[in-house]
Amino acid sequence: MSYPSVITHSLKGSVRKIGLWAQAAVLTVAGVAPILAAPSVSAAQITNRSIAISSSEISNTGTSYAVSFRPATSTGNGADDILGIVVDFCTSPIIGAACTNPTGMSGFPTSGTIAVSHTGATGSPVSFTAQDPGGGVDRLVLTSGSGLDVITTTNPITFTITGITNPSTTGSFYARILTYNTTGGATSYAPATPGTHLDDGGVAMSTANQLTISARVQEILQFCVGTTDAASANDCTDISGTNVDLGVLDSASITASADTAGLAMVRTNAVNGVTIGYFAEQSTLGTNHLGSLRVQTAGNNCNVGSVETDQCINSQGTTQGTFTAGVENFGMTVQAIDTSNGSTTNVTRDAEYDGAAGGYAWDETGTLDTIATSATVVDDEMLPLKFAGTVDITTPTGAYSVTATFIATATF
Amino acid sequence: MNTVRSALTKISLVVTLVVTTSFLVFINSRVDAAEFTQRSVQIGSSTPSTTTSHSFRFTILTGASVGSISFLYCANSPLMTQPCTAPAGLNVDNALLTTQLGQLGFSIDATATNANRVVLTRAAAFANPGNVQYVLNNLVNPSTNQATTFVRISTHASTDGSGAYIDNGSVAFSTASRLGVGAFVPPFLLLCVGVTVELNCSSTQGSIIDFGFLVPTQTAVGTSQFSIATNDDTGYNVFLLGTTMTSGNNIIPGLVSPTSSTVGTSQFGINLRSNTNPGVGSSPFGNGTGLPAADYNTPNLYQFIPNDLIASSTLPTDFNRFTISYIVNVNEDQAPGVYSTTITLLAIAQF
Repeated sequence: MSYPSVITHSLKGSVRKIGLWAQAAVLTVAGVAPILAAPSVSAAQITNRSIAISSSEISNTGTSYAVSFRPATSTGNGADDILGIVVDFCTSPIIGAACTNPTGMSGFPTSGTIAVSHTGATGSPVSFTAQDPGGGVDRLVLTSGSGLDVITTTNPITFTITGITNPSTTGSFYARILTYNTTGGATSYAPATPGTHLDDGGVAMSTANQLTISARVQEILQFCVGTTDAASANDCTDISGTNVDLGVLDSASITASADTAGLAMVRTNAVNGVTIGYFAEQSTLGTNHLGSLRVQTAGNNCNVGSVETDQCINSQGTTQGTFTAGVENFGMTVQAIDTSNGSTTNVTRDAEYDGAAGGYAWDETGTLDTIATSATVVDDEMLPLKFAGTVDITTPTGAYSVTATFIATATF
Repeated sequence: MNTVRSALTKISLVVTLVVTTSFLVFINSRVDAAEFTQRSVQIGSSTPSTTTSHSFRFTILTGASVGSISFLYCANSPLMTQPCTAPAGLNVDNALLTTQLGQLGFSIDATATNANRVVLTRAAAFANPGNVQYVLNNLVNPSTNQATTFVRISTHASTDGSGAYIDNGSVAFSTASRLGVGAFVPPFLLLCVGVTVELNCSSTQGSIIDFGFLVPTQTAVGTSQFSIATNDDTGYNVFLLGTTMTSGNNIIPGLVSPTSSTVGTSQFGINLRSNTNPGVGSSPFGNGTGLPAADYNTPNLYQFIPNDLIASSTLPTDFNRFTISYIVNVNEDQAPGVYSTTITLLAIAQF
């Protein structure tokens, strides 16, 4: 078969355009096929034809190809029933030309049935049987003994090919669609000699690179310590103050601060959570019990051990315990976890600082001691810190103080 | 012309898409670099401007030849692709590597290290995936309080932290205010006196001691108690104020030195011990460090000198309860009358 040279030129130009557009399209449609397809003998061109592929990713397996086209000629009952359909996938859409299958494409059914729909056709959808074209080519051959009867040009014929593996290279590839009024015509189809058929047309598709959309959420750790929450914000911006005054300690009672005398607030998006601890700053004045509640004057040399006659108040230690009035002791507890400022409830108090039975703890050694942890992200959870002390009858007079440094360590 | 314009428009669109795609692929290649897991920095102190340590822990995911590890401190962003603003006041230029676990053999690269970047260097060697820890000391914290600092960590094939990174990941720490806790312990000196008193002065009973009829043939005895404690660093002194027993112009002489009780001899004396001659009194009681004065601390020897020191402690002391034993003897010539005296105890501490 030969074609006028003018048509050949038109074909080349159109193919390039389709190729360009196909690179940009995820869902491929065939709108230029009227220009592409070379007419076959006595065949009209199907219209509104398209093949919607479920994925344009190269080598994607299990891809669905939804075929849709409108017949070129309407027929009545019994006249020119469509008994065979061929969809041949090639690197060229030209019907009647040799076909090179797209690289890497596979999975076309060679048996079984496919439902073919056409509104108004008798028995639609009609079950067509897939035939083996032989040679493992990328071709679907469908036949039906009864076929599609009563054809209209206004309603599409549709069916879906499933389980296809896409071509392994990006770019355009094509399908040649042909309809036959005999089953033998369809099964005898060869790309270069398609034989007598009813209608035909080409469809272009394309595989394409996938776009990966990525974003980055930066690490966050906000931590603050203070004594006053101005309640003007639900974060660290309104936390202030650095000193807690316990007042007068005497041996007749246990002196406790307000439940919220100290405040520590944390916010982090660390997926592995955060650990909050403190250590008692070690006094540079005097000796022994340097991180205890003590008189901070030069030469205040406290005694080793639990002594109630020096100017270092005994510390409860890292094991929580309750106090007895008149038995020298000092400690701290995390009174609660205030979650009212944020949206999470992930911080848990350490067992030695949870105030169980009214207990307190204080590590005077200068070693970081954990007071609370979380296993995941935290949104502005606040730790109210409560302090308490009592003195022995012999605890010397004086102004006692200690400074604590709090540290939050997030694991991202 | 229309055909040409249309073709150009399409070509332009395709070129734009190609360029966009290329950019996204480029970005994607950066994001896909392995990110350290289980990464953290534990700071030795959160106090601004303090010289402290930073302990880094993270898990290397990519097995590759590693010649350097970079720790870049930034105030603005943890993102490797963003410009870095050095935190105000931070200085890590004098960092010391004090601990290294996992991948070993690193030392400080003094050339590549600066005020906000520490580079650890070694001869490039293959690093298997796994946990590592590096503790840097002698670092000066940022000077801004309650500010977040990001540290961008990255491993490099080069030995000076240059070139593309292999793995990377950021951590964050925050400076914070220190919390001071203060309290005041007031000075106190607790003294209670009575015929009987509780050790902790929670109660006292009686204020009168009645010796009954004084006769030459028998020693009259009586007791009173006082309890005392103080938190004075130098302890306390208790003095006895008052006179010996008198009846008008008649007196029963006080003993001017520690003396035994002698029946038939006019004498008035006290001590603070348990005695057998006569059987009266109790020894001091309690955990305090207070003791009777020497002249009043010998059983069966009595003395009474007005304004005399009778008990003391040289240290802050818990309560001690002292029992004062009184003895009164009269001779046959002792003038009749009602003899009495009022004893006052004065405790003094020097705060």
